[in-house]
Amino acid sequence: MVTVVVSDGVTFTMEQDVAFQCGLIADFAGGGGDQEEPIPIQAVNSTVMRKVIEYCEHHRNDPPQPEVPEGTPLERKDRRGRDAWDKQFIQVEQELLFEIILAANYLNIKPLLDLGCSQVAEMMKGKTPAEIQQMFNIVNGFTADEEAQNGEGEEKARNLNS
Amino acid sequence: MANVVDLPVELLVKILSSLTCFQLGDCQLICRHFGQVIAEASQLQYVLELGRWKYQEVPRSNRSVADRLQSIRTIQNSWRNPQPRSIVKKSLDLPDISVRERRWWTAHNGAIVRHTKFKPASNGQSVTQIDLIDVLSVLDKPSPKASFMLKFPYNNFYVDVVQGLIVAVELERESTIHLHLLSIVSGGVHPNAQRAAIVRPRPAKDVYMDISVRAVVGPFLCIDNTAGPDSGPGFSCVELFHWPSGECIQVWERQSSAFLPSGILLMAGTQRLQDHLQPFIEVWKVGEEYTPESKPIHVATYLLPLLPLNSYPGMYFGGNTCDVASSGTDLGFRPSQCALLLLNQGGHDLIVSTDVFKDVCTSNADRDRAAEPPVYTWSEWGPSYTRIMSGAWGTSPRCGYRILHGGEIWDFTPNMASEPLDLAASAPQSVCHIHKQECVYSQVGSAAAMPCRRIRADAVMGESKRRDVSYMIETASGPVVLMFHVHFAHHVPPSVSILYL
Repeated sequence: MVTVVVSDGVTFTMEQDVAFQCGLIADFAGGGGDQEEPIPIQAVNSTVMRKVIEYCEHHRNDPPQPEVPEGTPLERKDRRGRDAWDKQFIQVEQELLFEIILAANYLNIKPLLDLGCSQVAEMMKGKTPAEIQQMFNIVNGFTADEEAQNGEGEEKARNLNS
Repeated sequence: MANVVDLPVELLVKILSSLTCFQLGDCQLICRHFGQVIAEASQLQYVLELGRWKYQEVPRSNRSVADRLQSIRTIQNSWRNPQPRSIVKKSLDLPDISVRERRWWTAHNGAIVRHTKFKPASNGQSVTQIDLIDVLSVLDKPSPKASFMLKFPYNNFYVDVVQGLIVAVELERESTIHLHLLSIVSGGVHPNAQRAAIVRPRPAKDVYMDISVRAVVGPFLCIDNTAGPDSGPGFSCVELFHWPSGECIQVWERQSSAFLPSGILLMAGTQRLQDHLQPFIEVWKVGEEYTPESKPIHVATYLLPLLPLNSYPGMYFGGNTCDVASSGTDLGFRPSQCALLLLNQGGHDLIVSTDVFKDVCTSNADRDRAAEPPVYTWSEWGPSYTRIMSGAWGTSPRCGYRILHGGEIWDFTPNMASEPLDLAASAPQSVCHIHKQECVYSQVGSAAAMPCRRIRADAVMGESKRRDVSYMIETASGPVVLMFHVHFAHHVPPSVSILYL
């Protein structure tokens, strides 16, 4: 069993094969036996950790993923592993989604990171820049000049598209 | 509250890298931060550039993304500005001989061979013809590599330079063709050659016959023979000679060959398959141990579409098998890409390109000594992509050139001052048209012809009352157009313009 303590002080205990899907915990525990001390994970809160553990428990019996060469577009990687459960799992509030991505990155859980990233990309597909700004609540920070240039750029992009 | 802009840059890049180029283009406009991230990530720029130029990713490339991005930009930048990079003019100094009879130029593998026939000033005696052969390099500073006088008692021959060996092909004999093998350094018989010439039979004298010397690798010389349709079978063939002994080792009835410096010989042919023609490529390993009983090490058919029986599949290997080494007293080769061009009457060209040789450099000093070349296997250099393009062969008029360079097709059409030249006319111009066909990489097996864009650049090379002879050749640094200017007025020295594209 492995015990971790997250930023808001909540302690989680899980089986080793669940915990070791997190590269960080695997490195921390060093592959040795049961840990006496809980592992501190300051960058992740309990809400997110609950989701992460849910994901890891579901995937505890997955065969190890074959190495995918760097630079392979996410979509291609996804088609293999992304099943209905994953799709359902990642349908979360935007804020939680980004926190899951950050946690997956921090904890080094590659499949979960890929899942989160492709979900964000999925959300962006088919939307105009303005819609994406609205969706993600982004202030664009462009000057008026840049806005004008962007207008031309959009025009060009449309020509390219047609 | 976690927001997309709070994500570390590498995660943002990861997210964006699954978008298409058009979505990515839109994403640049979302905010300043996104724009910066996209501008700085080479893998995202690569996606954008691929889309911008309508390329598809080359499958199974083992080059880094940054490297591939650089190649796309280099190629595209050179075409955004189709002006010639530079034109170098050089006067060709000739010995002071008063009667000039004829002159030929040959451009091959990055070298210019100037072949001049002179008749010494007539003093009423029968005259002896003199041939002067100069070998010039067309690299950055054109300079003679070698220059020598030859005395050949022949009326009609042309000169080819292949990797350190000059092959003078003598055509006008009754039933044979002689290939004279000369050293590029001395102009004399090559020291390794046990005979001065290779002799091979030829079809009837009036039959069109084209001989191209493909390559010299170690002791082997590969020749493609193309003969007219009435010359009977056996003349459109590929011949392999052991040139030091002058022996013909093997004859294949194949359309075309390419001899790669590692000792691999590629051959293209077709075989009948029920009611279709099936093109194939054979891969032979030719080395010291080669015997006529040797078998090809690989035969590839799976890449190539079947052709209707009535099509004429002219297949040839083009381009990029050899370049010129930049230094040394001798001409050498730099193996680079090899590409197969399959021509068919349907108006589609298919290129199967292998690019593994691109980075292999072989020292030219070892060539005459037949150093043991590295060994490659098919899997290491298997065809990495095919490219199907619309546009029929033959866009160039009869005297045009087509070369394959860097995976692209370059067509060159010299448009010379019209003949007969009207000396009274005012300044006819020499214009050369350079076409580059830009097309789309397609995955192997994708049969759909992709749209191709054709770019055209015209370069005015000069104007005068003279006759120009132009060639387009390939060098290590790209295609180069050579234009030789020959003035009819004998007191004006001839010159050459070298157009670096």
